[in-house]
Amino acid sequence: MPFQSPPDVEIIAAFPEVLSLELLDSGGFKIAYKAKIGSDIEVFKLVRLPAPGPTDEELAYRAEAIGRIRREVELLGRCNVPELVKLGTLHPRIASIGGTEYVGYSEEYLAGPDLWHLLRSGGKPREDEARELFRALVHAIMELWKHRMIHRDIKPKNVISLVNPSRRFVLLDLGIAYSLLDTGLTRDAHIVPGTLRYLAPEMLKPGFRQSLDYRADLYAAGLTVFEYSAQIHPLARSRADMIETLSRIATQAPKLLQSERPDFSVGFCRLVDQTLKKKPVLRPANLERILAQLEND
Amino acid sequence: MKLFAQHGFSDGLKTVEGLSKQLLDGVIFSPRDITPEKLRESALKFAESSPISERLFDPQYYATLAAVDPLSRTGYLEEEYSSYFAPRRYDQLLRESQVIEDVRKVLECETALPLTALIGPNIIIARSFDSAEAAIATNFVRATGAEGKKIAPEKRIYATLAVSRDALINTEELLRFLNQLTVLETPPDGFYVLVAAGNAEARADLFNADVIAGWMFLNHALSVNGFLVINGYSDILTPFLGAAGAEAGATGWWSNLRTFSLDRFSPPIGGGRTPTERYLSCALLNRITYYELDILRRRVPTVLNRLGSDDFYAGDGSQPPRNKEVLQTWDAIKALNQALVSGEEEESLRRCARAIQTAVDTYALISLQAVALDSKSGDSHLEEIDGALRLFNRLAELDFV
Repeated sequence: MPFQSPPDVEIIAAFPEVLSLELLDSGGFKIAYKAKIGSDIEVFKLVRLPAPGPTDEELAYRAEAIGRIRREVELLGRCNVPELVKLGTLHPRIASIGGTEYVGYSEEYLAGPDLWHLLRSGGKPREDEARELFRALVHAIMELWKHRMIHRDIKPKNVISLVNPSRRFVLLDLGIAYSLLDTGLTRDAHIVPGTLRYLAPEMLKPGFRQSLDYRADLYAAGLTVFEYSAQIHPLARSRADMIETLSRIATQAPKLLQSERPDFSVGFCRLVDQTLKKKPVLRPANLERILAQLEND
Repeated sequence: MKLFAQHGFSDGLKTVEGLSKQLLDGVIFSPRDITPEKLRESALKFAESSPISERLFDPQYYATLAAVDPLSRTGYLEEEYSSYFAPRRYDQLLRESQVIEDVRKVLECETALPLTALIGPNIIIARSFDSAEAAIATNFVRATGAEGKKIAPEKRIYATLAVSRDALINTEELLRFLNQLTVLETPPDGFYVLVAAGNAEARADLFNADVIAGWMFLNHALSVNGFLVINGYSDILTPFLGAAGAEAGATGWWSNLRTFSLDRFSPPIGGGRTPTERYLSCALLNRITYYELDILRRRVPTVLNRLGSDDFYAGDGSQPPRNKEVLQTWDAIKALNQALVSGEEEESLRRCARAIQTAVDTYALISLQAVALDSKSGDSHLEEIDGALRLFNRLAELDFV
């Protein structure tokens, strides 16, 4: 449930670099605004921090929240591909607003709808657009993997569609990205971060962090491309409950893209379908080869 | 799909003939059985017979662990290939630096030979993929990719992946192992896959549904991940591995060149008699003896392949020339490869299933003729291959379709 945002004037008072705010989106603990920061239009993100309570549990919860923002910002600072959102000018800072602590920071503003909204507006994409989306996501996954990171939340809602032909799709939100090189941030090892409908099957297994790699992102990228192309999710049903969705992820065969988009080439459909295999080893791990296939097929 | 000669002792002109008749696409040399000097000479002849043919070299490094036994049969390996071949113990190979050094020596030795692609060394994963052996084997693969690019950047580099049939049938462990292998940072271009039986005569060791399915899955998973896969000693299973994604298979003239086993390097355990010449029938997916062929050629003519190599098996029931037996094998496997392996995996698997049904039907016709076949010529392999196809479809998640 979205939290109640503080009044704009109080936010601006706490972050004087921010000159104006326009609400874009809000989640359980984070709000995004289109903001004027200095002379630029950027996305200002305001994350509510848990109160620094007296127990170890409360302290750890707060440390996790701060750690995630720090990781996201550090990672975005290291990544340098157009397929990933870039940092803005406002670096993360903790500020108290109305007695509650928040972290505020900014990212570049991308003027376009996310794919989730596009999916709901109808109109199926052409194959070249779907290919371009896949190419962009593979590039983003490659860049993250260079830093031994897994995004873990690739889904239509986190992909922005732009009109810029040299930058058609951009992946957002590294808030729950997982680093193979750092200590995990999720306190409870049994918690599986991510959006249920886009979770790779291996993430449902106990101790999945031991063997997790970028193929989990490749799976979610394949799902996103499928859903964008066919306007339906290949596995989930809109009215299914959590258990049914989990069961489908673990055991059910996904729909085949060719059956939903017979106008698409067989090679492209097969490539997308192959990324949706339950076993990671059956997903094509050679990302360079995927890019070549997208280019040449 | 390509077919290579699994080279060994006493080649004579078999490989030259196989290449010149275009039954073969290349050869995999066995240093145990040939000196470097003779290898160069043979390679020249092979290149003359078929200029586009490939020449590879199995370094047989896996035999270094058997070589600590003074009675081991390592042939020319210790004397002629001493630049890389020396007895090794597991504890030496736990050091990654040793692995890298050994890989380098093998690849340097191979670059001095007239080969078209290089195969790196490895040990056999004998017991389990969840073992120190498997960790050592992964290090060999990693080092082959890294060193190969430095030593011979212009050539394709294959890493040896040698596993026992016992290790291969544990699917969970195989999956975990492949998960790691397919995301190595310095991968080779492909793999030279060997599946080891207890001994070369232990047909049931490999003709087992779980083993064949695991072998097919290994090929499929590696090929999905962009690797080329050459299967050594794959013999009659070659087209089934091709249907699963293999680039090539290989077989040779002795039983120990048709089935891979470390037995070949172990101390001898007494002699055997010369086996009876056999005929590989495409319709039966099996070999039958030449005298069984002579009975069946009139009663169940579909056992005949109707290929050029049928001429070696005269209609009068006389014994065929022993040195022609392997040419008939290569001819038959090549025909099966062409018939069963298409560009589309699903279609190839359908064709394989149809070939098994054809074999079942042909054996039924033989049964109606009341012809008694010897145990090796019987149909026991069909149930295993059929089971393997079903199991493979499930493992590769193709049964969803």
